[in-house]
Amino acid sequence: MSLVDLILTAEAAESRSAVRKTAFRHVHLDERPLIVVAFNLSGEAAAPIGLMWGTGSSADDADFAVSGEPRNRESRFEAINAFCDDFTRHLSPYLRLETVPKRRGGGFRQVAKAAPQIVVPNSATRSYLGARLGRSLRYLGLGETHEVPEPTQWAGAHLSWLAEHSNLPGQSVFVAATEALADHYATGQSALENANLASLLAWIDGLPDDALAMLESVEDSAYGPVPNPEWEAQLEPLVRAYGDALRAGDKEAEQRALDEVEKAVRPKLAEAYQATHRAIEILRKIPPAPGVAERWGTDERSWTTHAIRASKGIPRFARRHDPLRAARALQQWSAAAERLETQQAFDDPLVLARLDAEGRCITGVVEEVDRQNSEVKPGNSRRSSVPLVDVRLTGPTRLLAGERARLVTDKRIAAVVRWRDEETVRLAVMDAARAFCDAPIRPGHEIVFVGLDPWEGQDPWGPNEVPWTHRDGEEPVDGDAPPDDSPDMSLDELAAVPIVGIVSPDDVGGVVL
Amino acid sequence: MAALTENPGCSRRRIVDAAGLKAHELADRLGHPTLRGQSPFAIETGNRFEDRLKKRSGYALLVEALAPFVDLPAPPDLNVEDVNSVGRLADAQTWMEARVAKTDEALARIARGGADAPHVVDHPVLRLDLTGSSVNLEPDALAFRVGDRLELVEIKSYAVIDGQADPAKVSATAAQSAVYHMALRATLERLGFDPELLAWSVILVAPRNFGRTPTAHRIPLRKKSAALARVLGSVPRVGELLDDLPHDLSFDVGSTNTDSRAASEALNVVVSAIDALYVPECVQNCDMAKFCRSEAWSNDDPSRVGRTARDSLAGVSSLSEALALARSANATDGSDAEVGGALRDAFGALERARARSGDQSLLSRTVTDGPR
Repeated sequence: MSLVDLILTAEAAESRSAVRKTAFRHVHLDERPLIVVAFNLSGEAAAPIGLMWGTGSSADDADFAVSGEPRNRESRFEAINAFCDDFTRHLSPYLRLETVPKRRGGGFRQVAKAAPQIVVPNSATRSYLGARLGRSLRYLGLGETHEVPEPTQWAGAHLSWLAEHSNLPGQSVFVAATEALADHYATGQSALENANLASLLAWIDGLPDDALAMLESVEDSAYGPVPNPEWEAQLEPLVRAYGDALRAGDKEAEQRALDEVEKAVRPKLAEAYQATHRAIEILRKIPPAPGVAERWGTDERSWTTHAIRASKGIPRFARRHDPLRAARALQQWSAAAERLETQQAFDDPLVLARLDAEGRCITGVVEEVDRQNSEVKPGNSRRSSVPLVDVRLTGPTRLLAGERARLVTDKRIAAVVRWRDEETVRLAVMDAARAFCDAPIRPGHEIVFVGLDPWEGQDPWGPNEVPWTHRDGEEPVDGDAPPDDSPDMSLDELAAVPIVGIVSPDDVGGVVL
Repeated sequence: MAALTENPGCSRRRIVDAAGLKAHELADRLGHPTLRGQSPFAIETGNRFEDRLKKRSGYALLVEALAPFVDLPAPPDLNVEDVNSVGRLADAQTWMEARVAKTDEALARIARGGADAPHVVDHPVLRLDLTGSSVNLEPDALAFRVGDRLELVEIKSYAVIDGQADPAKVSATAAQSAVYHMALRATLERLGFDPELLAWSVILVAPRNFGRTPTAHRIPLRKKSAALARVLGSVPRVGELLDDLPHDLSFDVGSTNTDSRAASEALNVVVSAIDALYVPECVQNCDMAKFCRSEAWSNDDPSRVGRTARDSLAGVSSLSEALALARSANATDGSDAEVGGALRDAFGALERARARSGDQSLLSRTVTDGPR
């Protein structure tokens, strides 16, 4: 936590209300993103008890699916298939490819018309839907696994792609509302507590005098994917009743029991859906930063690769990356992280303030500009224009003579610190001197340079070269269908499961006092 | 134990443990019941998984899962020592003593390498002296490799998907196992055997992917154990902590039958008298956390927003004091001069940025604006 963030946190605590920490929005927002919320049965890796999804503003219009007994294969897949069918249908228009002329060199290329956007309440739901539910579905129908409808196989592939893509810093395709809100608002609580959407929204709404009591009451309403244990204790007999009805083969009782589970689960899903929608609307009110469109372009290009693969059939994914793929992904992610940091700093004065507070900026008032100066730059034989600008500092800087900095209002313009003392810094403009000379920079103007010099050259590794960090790794796990490994239990087994009820901390094994 | 190793500097937790109190009961009576609950479904699934590995398959599934690491004979040749078989004894204390003794005896047989040595010790109970007070620990199982090595086995019900499990859960398992490991080494030493008999790792047995088929993975423990030993070695002993407390300090402030509010308030005074070292992560490890969080809120303690906040505001006692320092125009001297300077610089940068952004809604608010 930087000191600027710490001050923002203290300000929020003082006013008992969240404080904006950026001047602009740094996440792309679709007109109507798909909202997905989910609850998973605890103790299972991927057995949803309920899912709700939709693009509308009201949970009443959203679709949902509830499983009466997620440990029973039919019941579980009834819910999963219902979701997957809609999910696949929602994404299919985005898979359509258009043929457009290449930007350079003639010829044509295929692009997806647009990329989809999926918003979930929190990062736990995102990894649940992608890395767990998606992974549990993507090999079905292959090898010796169970057969599932084709849309479910497609959804497995899409969720797997989304899981992978969500690692890319600055992506806006698969968004967790908590992360997006916490990127734009400082609350008076810890990052850990900010992972709860209900509590984040309470801070944005403003808290009453007894703030902690309010926060404690909303913290109980986790918006998935892990249900609150007390709520699960209430669910337990309902789930059991459904299992018993299945076993008895009593269709009417089955429906009644399912209705009961649905009555318990749907309001929780609706609450989570509504909160996620609110988070989106709160973010929408913030004007987007210029870099958002550029990053969304990256998202669209990535989606295009998926769409092209999808045009040849259901895309298949390896269980784990081979060393080359892993190294390449890591390289992409770290480059994207660096690009994101730079872009946000140039786009947003409040993001820049963190660098300024660390002394990584030169902030001051222009004293003198020498546009006529010319020098022989290193490596050149002829003189070229190197304008000089003297800045009287209004804030402290740690940049030293010889360090490079870029003009915040025009990042093409890069300068080198010539000399400095406590009050003044002289900068020599080395890149984009013409742009600098044309810019309306006069004595008396405020000016900010930032010591960010992003790497814009080639990646250090060739496209097919495995960097040393990833050589001699373990054998890659290939894309063959692994065994099904599903959590299914027979109806008799389910009937033998005891009702546990509320679990006291004493019931947890391991330590005996 | 986990709570203490996660936050070893916390005197409050240590004294609660030393007094033999259950943290969750204490928190309950203080009016701040714990946030940590366990799902009935998860507990049930976990118990059923362990039961399948052991009893229901006659340990065959466990032996099969351990096969890549420990070469054990399949049942019926498998010799299992179930420490629980001492039977239910009259009182819990005697029962525990009997189990400790039985575990010792089984360990001795293994260490001696006799033909009658059990291959698997189920439900062992290990005694560990923890900074002046002793606790009993119950690892899931110990397995004896035919040969010369003792392995610690821990059964968990979280999924290992494509060879990878939730890193936070694996780390918690390693921390828990490091404590067992330490207790086991101490026991071996006490019995006069070489503690190096025990492998520096734990074998995690957990469900593979999304089903219930067990898979085993070796988790190295050397680093965790070294960290644990360092932590336990450097913390003040309970006796020293007690020296600093008022002599009439007592957690016994009346039974639950008496006026509960008065009792809760009296208890509050007692518990508050002992220093805590609260950080937000306590909520995940300690049943007292809600009480300490509420205390941190009323003190406006910077540590309630995180460890880094606490560390970068060293010497500043509250968030509002930090804000006052940031807003003050002039440098102060004294203990907080350095922190104050950094805060003023940061505040200056923030205010310049807010002014530049030209967005009125971003301008800094003072408390007079208040929440809306």
